[in-house]
Amino acid sequence: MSRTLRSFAVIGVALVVFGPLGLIIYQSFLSEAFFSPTASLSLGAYRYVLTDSGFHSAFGTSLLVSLGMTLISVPLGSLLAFLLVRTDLPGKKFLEPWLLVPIFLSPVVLAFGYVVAVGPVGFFSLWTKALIGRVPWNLYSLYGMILIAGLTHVPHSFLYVSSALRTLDPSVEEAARVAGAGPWRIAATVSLPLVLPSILFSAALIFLLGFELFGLPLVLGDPAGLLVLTTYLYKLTNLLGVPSYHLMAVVALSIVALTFPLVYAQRRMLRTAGRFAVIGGKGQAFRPLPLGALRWPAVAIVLLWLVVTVLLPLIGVALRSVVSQWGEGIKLFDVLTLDHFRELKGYPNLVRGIVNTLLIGSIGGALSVVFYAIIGLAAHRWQSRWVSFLDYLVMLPRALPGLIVGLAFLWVFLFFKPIAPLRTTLFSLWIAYTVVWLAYGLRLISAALLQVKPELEEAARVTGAGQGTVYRDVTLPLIRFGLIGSWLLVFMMFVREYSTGVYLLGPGTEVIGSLIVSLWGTGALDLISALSVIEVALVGLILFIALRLGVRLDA
Amino acid sequence: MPDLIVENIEKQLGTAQVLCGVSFELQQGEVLALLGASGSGKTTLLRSVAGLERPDKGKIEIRGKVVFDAASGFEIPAEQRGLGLVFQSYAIWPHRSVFENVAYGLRLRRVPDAEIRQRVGDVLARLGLGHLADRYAHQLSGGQQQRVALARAIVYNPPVLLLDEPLSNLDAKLREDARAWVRELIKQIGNSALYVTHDQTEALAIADRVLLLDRGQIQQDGTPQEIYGRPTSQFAAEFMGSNNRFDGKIAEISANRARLENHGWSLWGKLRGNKEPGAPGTGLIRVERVRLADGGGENHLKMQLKSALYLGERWEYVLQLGELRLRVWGEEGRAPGECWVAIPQEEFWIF
Amino acid sequence: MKKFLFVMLLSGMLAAQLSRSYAAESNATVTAAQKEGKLVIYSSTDSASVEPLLQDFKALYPFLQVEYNDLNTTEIYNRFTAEAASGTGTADFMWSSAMDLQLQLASKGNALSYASPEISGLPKWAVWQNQAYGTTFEPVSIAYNKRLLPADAVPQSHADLIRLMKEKHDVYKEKIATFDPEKSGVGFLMMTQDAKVFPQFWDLAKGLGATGAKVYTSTGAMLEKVGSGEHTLAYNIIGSYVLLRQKKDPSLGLVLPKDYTLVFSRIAFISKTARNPNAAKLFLDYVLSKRGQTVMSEKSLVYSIRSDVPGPITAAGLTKDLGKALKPIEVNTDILAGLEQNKRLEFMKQWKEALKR
Repeated sequence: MSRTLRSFAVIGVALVVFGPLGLIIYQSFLSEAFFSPTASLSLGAYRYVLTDSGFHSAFGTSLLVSLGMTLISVPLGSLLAFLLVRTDLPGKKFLEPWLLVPIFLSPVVLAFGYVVAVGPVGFFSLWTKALIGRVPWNLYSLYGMILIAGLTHVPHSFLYVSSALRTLDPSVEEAARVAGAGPWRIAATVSLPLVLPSILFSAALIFLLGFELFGLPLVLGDPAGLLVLTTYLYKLTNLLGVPSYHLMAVVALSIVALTFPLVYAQRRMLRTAGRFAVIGGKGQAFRPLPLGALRWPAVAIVLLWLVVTVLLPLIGVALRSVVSQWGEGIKLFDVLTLDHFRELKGYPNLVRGIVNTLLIGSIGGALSVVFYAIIGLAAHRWQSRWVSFLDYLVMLPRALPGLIVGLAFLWVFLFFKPIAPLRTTLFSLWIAYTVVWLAYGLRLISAALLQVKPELEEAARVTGAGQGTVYRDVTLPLIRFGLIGSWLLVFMMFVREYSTGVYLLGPGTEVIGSLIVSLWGTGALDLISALSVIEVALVGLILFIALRLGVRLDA
Repeated sequence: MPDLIVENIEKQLGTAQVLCGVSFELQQGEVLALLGASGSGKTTLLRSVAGLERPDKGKIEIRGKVVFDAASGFEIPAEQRGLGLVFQSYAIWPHRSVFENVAYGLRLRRVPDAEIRQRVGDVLARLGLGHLADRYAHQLSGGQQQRVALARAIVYNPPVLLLDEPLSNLDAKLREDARAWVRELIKQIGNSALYVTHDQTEALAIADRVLLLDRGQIQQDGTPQEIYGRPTSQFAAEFMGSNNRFDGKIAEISANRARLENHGWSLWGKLRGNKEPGAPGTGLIRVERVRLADGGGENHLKMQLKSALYLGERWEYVLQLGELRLRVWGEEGRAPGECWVAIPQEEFWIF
Repeated sequence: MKKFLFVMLLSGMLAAQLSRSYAAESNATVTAAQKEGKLVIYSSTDSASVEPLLQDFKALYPFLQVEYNDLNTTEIYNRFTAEAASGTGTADFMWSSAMDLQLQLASKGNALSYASPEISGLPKWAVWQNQAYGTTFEPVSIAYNKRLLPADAVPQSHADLIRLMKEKHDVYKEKIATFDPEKSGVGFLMMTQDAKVFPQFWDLAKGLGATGAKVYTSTGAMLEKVGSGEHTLAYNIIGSYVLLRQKKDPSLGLVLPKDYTLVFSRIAFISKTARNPNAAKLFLDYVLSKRGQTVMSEKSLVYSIRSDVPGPITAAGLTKDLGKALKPIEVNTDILAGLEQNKRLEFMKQWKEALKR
């Protein structure tokens, strides 16, 4: 790849990352919204936010939630990884894709599903009440939030730990077996310690994700008055009755200050994780560890997690979408109806939203993958310090919650007049999405590129192909499958997206996710559930296609 | 005019100086082996000629045209040097058929289709791959893949053919057969070839000339017979063949002969290199040149036969004298006991 | 001088008489609107409610393509301010139930001065400087779940509610929902007006805190939860929404408090920088006209403000039932007092203490 193309790639990425971020920083030092004619430089925003008790408690709550969910998801995820990768758990092949499903479901949809299923008058709660006379749990509480956040993030830990376990040399476990250790002892003393770097890495990731939670605390935390940093920011919009963009900027930066070091630490962990990996020998097939009497209890654990984390909320959502009323004193079968779906037709913005979601997922997703591929190729086999710089650049949006990136892009489109007309088009949303998922997309691409042995490209060069021709004739065809897989994964992520589009929401930029957030504010839960069912169906369809094509969901 | 002139190539990778000033020439139609242990710099040297590595110093000319000159910063990129390279792992493109793999170079050179079909067909036939033209890499055996790699490299008639350990991925048995037909093929094609290997037998068999490399420097440049039979350095002598080694002190020197001695033995041999009487020295003799003798004599040693190992094609005797342990080959088994060993002066080199 | 004024007055009245006739709608406006061809509305009235109005309007002016944006009150305010300040296109017609935010925008010079011919049909307090118009007359009510709340626990007034929250603490524990003044403009307005009009407001607030009431930002969310039984009572709910919801959910009950009922009015104004000002004028006139208000009352179930609209879901209907107890929130800059930073934060602080949050 020629130097100019490479530099364009770096500059392009720098622009879309530093642009919004720079605007946020600038805004935080102003006394009012940046487009206000009376705005002036001031530290007032910092003073207000940093001394606000609301901010302190939101900060504390965020911390607790992050900690709590890490403590739940990491052990559970590691255990499930061990069970599915290293043992003879029955039904492994069937269970594995389901374990990754929560990643592809919108958190707002899930949270809402939980309300319908296990909220104070959820159907499951009412059954329990009928059985034992009361509902022993409270969904709208700190521990409710932490529990659900933890359970829904099990797949993240599972992903990393399971792929690390897959690369383990099985003979280390077999040696322990021969010496007399049973499967659980092997797990605890051999396998899991060897993949400790991956466990720690996923813990750091989940802790990081805790600060970016938005949908879950919005639905579950609000009624209890529990705010996390993101919902605190969302609430700031109304606190002073005037656009408090400067305050929002400060809160956004406070989140970045927390998450960026985490992302940085993560990256370093990734490098050291590579060093500790015990790469398997000649890749001989290994016999899985027999669980013996623990087989069915183990299956029960997996199924229990599946039911609680996936089935319960999905059934909740599906149920709500086909009933006209629900709750205490309602017999479900009396109120079944498909009206909500029919109603959707009457809302042109909702129909537009569905269409837009499809568009941005399919075409937008494809364009994003092309963008990622260009950057990936630019960094491919490029020995230069710029590659590290690119790496750090890419990490920055990772540290920002989608909500803030969307807000920042709104400001960018407001601020820079030449591109202003694009704000009301899907383009503004697309570029925000592409930036938010930059790190994810690049990781997918580089995983695909790693599969291409350098000699295949060198052979082409020696035969007479210039660098560009090598990419065209050798590299790209060889990662063709990886590109398609990446597109499908990005498609799903874009469909599931909800927070990035919130501030960019307007006629022309509606997508299902942000519509749900907006509708949540108006309480049109019947519409929300119908939309959610459609979204889940979409994601399910793509997931099915991806799995059929053999796309690996772990990236 | 030589096909390839390499002048004073230096290359540093990380903190290691991989090549420390290597120069050689490759004549038309000559097969030159770059022989050395891993880390000797041979592969780096080959890749530098190909243009896949950029040396820090030096100059490279192909058929009189300068393709690289560090001094002036001039460099022709790899894709424009027109060389052929056979990779150790073959690097067959898995998404292309055998035919397409071989045809790629011609397509890049915009050769018309009909001619491509003819030339590729010829090369494939010559290498015994004619019936495999439509297969893909995963349908081929290792040996077949190797030949495809070779076909791909020669189809556009490169001035120099580069081979990077092409036989090392084959099983030992196949390697012995392959040695012969690789040399035949290269000679048949007639291009000059630069052949990298760590296997000394392979180098001796295939090459017209051998360049022995050690830690980035050329130890000896000569014909296989010269390298094997007349090593100019202790390293060269020790690297080739199987040796018996005698450490001792040079007692006296007379013309180009010297007498090496240590506790219990004293032997005359050919002196290689400059040495003073009284200096320490090392004596080397090929194992196959040592024989059991019937009795004493000039340069005969009386030793204890400790054990005789049956190796299939011959017997190997292990003999000891004090701290000296020798290996000698013979045709029959012998019981342990006293033995005389003959060390022919002409074959005994003293460094 | 007096003669001059008298003549002016006469001609003014004459002009007013003339403009009464709807058919005499200024042809110039219609023609100009035809050229514009489009109308962009930002409104907090949800799409379901407004549909009959839009249909009727389209029947009147089929050449106008209406882009209706259903946003919440804060979104409306933020979006408008941001867009107006950055000079990128924004709404032509702004219609929101956040009276204070709308007046804030109008008072800052964002509203077009336009004397609608329909002014004569409106009460005087509903029009501010011919820039901001109150378009509805909606009672702030109490909604409850008929299935689950026993009849003797249903409050008929604010005083009732305070009493019942104490006496029937167990019934009401964690079962009351109300607006969050921190996060909702409408909520803030209602609570501050409550505080202004009702001397025992803080007792009520403390009562809410004592029963563990939950706060929300939308009527819809509250009604959903009252319908499902998660809550049994919602305080300070916009009456029109309850009526609409009752169509789907017959178990919802509505109470208009007898000691006093706040009445608030959705405020509309035409943006000064509107790209389609004439289309906006047509829409404003329509919304304020007898025809529009009748559709609003009968089909959208939104209480109309014109006194000449027949039916119960009207100002007249409410006045018949509640008379002096009706306390309309007047459309003028007094509402803005609540937006003043310090007072606002002070109120919030008190509120949070009372609610024990």
